Amino acid sequence: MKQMQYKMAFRKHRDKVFGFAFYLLRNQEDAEDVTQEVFVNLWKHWKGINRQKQEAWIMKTTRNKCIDVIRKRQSSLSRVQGIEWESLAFSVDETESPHAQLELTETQDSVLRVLYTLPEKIQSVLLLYYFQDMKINTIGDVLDVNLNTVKVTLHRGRKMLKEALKNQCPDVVEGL
Amino acid sequence: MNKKCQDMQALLDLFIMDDLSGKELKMLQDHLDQCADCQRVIEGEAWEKLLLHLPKRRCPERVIRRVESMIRQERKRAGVFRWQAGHWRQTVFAGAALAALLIFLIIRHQPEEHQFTPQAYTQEEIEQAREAMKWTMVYTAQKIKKSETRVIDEVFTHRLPESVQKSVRKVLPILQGD
Repeated sequence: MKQMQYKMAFRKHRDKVFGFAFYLLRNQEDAEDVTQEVFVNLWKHWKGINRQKQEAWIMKTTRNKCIDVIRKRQSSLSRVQGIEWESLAFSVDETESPHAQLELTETQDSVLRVLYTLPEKIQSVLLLYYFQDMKINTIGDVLDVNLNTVKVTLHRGRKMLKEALKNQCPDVVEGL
Repeated sequence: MNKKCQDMQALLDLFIMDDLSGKELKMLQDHLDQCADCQRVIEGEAWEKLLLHLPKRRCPERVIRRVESMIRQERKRAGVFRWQAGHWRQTVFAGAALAALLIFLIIRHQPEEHQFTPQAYTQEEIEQAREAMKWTMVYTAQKIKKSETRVIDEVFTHRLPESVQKSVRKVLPILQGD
């Protein structure tokens, strides 16, 4: 029974988890490791997880794992921002189908670059809201904050991204 | 938003997806030059739509295989724990038996030099020891006798206080066995 339910949950959420980790970490290998850890943890803590809030638990664990990875990177200083960004464009698995490969337009590339200059919390909220198409109350569960805080963070995030786009990529804003 | 603006919205979506022909792009550009409302909309919403349309990433097959393999391992481990929970008495008994066996083996195989072996003496050495003991006792007895004599001398030469002399006189016959 548990195995069946787990398989269904894995199938349902694995792409979301991987996509979120990938865009947050900008690195294929790290995103793969995070995805693996999240789903092994899901199995281990299966009994204690509320089924209604399973998606929130999964995304929350994903975010926490990503933050751990980012902290490790910052402490070891083993990788620089430029290399990380490059890995987003080039670390695509050759064995995957062409549909799965990253094909960012120049504008998407610029918006993402600007997004990555914002605080991690803002990045998470914007990615969860826009990219993952997640509801505001679920985002609240992921971030452990109430509905109003999510709304305020989202509003602030939009504003910050818009301002940052104007400052850092005026040509992109003009182009839009 | 007027009718023309609504028409332009469709073009706007295509523009954001970089999917506009040259002619459509020109139409949109002309409209945006004239319409301040659409300018605001495009400024406010374009990047949002870009985020909405970021390429979706599929979880690679190798990650799926890795997760499945790890879950199989976890299940096996959980199975062992379940068995242990159901058979804890047997597990404890087996552990205790193993510990007892180990202790027995350790004691049995202690190195020979650590074991106590009594020293064997010759008859001559024993005789010598007895003789030495006898003379030691004689010497000790003489010493005791000398000490007694000195005490008695002290008493009778009045070197001790009068009260002590009286006590000694009382006790002396008893000590001498009279």
